[in-house]
Amino acid sequence: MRITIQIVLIALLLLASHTLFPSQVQAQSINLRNLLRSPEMNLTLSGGLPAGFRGSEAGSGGLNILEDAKYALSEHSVLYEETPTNLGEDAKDRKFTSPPTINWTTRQVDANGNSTVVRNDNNNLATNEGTFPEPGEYMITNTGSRQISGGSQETSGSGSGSSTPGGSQSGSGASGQSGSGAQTPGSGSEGGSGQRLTSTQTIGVIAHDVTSPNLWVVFQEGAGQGQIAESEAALQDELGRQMEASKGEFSGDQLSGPLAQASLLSIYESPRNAHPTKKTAAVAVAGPVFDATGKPVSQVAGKVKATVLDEAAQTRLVTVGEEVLKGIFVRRNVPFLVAGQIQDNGKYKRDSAVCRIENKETGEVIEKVDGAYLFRVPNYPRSEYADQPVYQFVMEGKDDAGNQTVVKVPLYVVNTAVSYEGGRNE
Amino acid sequence: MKPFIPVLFALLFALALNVLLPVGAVGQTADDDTDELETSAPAGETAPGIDLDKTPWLKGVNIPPRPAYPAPVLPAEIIMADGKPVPATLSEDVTVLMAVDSEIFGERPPQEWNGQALPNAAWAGPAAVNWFFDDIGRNQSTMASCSEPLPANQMKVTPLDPTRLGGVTVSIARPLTYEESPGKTRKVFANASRGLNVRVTDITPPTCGLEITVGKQTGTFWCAENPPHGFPLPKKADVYLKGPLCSASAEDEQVVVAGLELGAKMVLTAEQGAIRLPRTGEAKIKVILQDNDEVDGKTVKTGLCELVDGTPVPVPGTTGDSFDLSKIKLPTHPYLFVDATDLSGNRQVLCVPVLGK
Repeated sequence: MRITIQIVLIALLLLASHTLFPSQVQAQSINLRNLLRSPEMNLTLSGGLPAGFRGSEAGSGGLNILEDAKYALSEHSVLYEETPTNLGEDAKDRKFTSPPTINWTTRQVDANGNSTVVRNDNNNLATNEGTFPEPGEYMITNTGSRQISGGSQETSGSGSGSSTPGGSQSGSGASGQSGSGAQTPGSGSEGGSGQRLTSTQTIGVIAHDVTSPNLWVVFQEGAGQGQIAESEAALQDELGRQMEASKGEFSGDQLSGPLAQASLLSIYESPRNAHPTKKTAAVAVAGPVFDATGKPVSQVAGKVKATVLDEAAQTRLVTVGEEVLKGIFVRRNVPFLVAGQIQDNGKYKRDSAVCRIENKETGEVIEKVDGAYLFRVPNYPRSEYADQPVYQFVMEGKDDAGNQTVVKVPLYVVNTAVSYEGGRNE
Repeated sequence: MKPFIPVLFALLFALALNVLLPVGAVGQTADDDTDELETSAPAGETAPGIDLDKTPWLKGVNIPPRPAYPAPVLPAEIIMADGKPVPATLSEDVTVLMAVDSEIFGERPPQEWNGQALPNAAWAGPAAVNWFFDDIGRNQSTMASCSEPLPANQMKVTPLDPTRLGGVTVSIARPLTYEESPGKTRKVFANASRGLNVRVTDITPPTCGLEITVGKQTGTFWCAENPPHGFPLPKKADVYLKGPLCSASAEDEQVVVAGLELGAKMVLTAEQGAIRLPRTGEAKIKVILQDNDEVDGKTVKTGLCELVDGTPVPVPGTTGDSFDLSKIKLPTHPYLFVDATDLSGNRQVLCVPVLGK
């Protein structure tokens, strides 16, 4: 009697599990149909950086690489071999009946571990090139699928054609012929011969930032129609908003609103996503302070190739000097404010860009007068004012990875016929 | 011997540098001027034993087929989102909601793989799921994507073209960590994948047309499904007419008649578009066969016709490649027509009015 009760209980348990977990029943039926299991896959990336690169931990799951470099990817699985012999005993009487279909999928992983597909290559090859346009974490997945003889059609006969529109189609009068006759739900004929065997593998990579940050510097003069901001911080905030809106790239006339009359110096990666050895920054200017006569200009003044700042860390440095930008020309007796902003494709701190005006010879930092810069004695042309000090505008920006952009250009005070003592927005 | 000592030291120094310095991109300097692949091994070398005549896709592969580290492969099954099995036959352009069921979505990862214990194994992130639709005949794969928020294991799959041999493939990767040695954690990926064979039926009628030439003048009409891959039925199509015989002014202009129901009752009105034929001359007909699968050549009919209860009744003597217009007795309301059926039985009949010139 006790045994009978146990049998009944077991039967009830089995019935309950069948009802609650129908997909498990599906998995059981697979085994019954003697389908081959997915084989393992090996996946590698060549040319990665050492495990401890930039302080990363070994075994953290990501191969260290550089953003924008090209890496060779290769993979291998017995699924791709000439015969299925190495798939095991169950495959001994089977044959591959198609070449493999091979997809390479690159996903970018966010801080929460969620990932988004950024690229998929269906090249049907076991090798591929990997490029990673932004710093950060990526997953590279290879998915292979291939027809192999034997086994049974995995799809079930109970599909009932719910996905086929035969009824509505014939009802439309458009083409009543294409309906049920062509549909063979669950028949396992034609497309169902053999098994669609798959294999997949994923590796993680960490793409390190090797791009120097973009810098924007705005010079706002308090003269004519221009009014300077209440403070340098207010000017910096406004600049930050407008820089963010244009993704840090220069178009010549993007400053608007309170900055419409201001002069802009913009240093930004151009072209974007160049190979690490070919990183170049464009130096663009817009406004009157970049011309000795005060004529407003709007142009890309030149390009600067990044240099390697630290070989071991592979950081980059962009240095903008006099050879690219002759100087900044401010007017005597015209107060002005300077504010800079930083933007980067990797991690950075918004306050990690600093700018100052200094005496080029002594390094003495020039202080503001009543909250604004104001030079009362001209020093340009140099031939006329050789006794006056040469000033230098300096800006330095650094991202969290250590890539830097540095600006060091002369700042000249030009004599003008008109003197503006006011202009500050009190 | 003495003269060789410095050379030997130099060689040893170079060798030591080669070993000590990191490989790959660390070797880049500002003077490098290349965007070659960053490789630690010669690229393009294929491992001995791989026959590239038989497995050309393995060109350049020189790694073993199994990873040197534990990367568990878990079973997976593709089902419909409602838990039912996937039908063996799907219809083109019809979206189905599929799901994948696998232990990879479970609470805990496997604690061992291939006999190797994975101490304290725990998931280190969510699963990433990739869905593909494979046209096995063409060996082309299309990645499925969906902007609609769905559970991680679900995907809307819409086969866009008919195929007798298709496949739905899903692959899943999920990071896991385990204690490789006391106090040292390693992150690897568990994997799962599954493929199903499916057949995709054709529900799109052909989009055929005709080119008619009389003397030196031609007129061509054809149609194109618009919007493409439209569903639910009926599908719509735009009809294009081009050439001097399609224009009242005999100019080579193009007329587009938008929004006709694609199928067996595509009849234009004279206001929408017409073919203008002279009373005399030899008319030559060239049929333009178009279908997303294949037109059944045996079903194709063309020529002049009149419509009886909406059905084209051919004018005798006009169903061949050419006919003499002066010998044809035209009905009151003549049409030029093309009638074609694809291999799946979808039929298209397109009738364009014929006007005298």
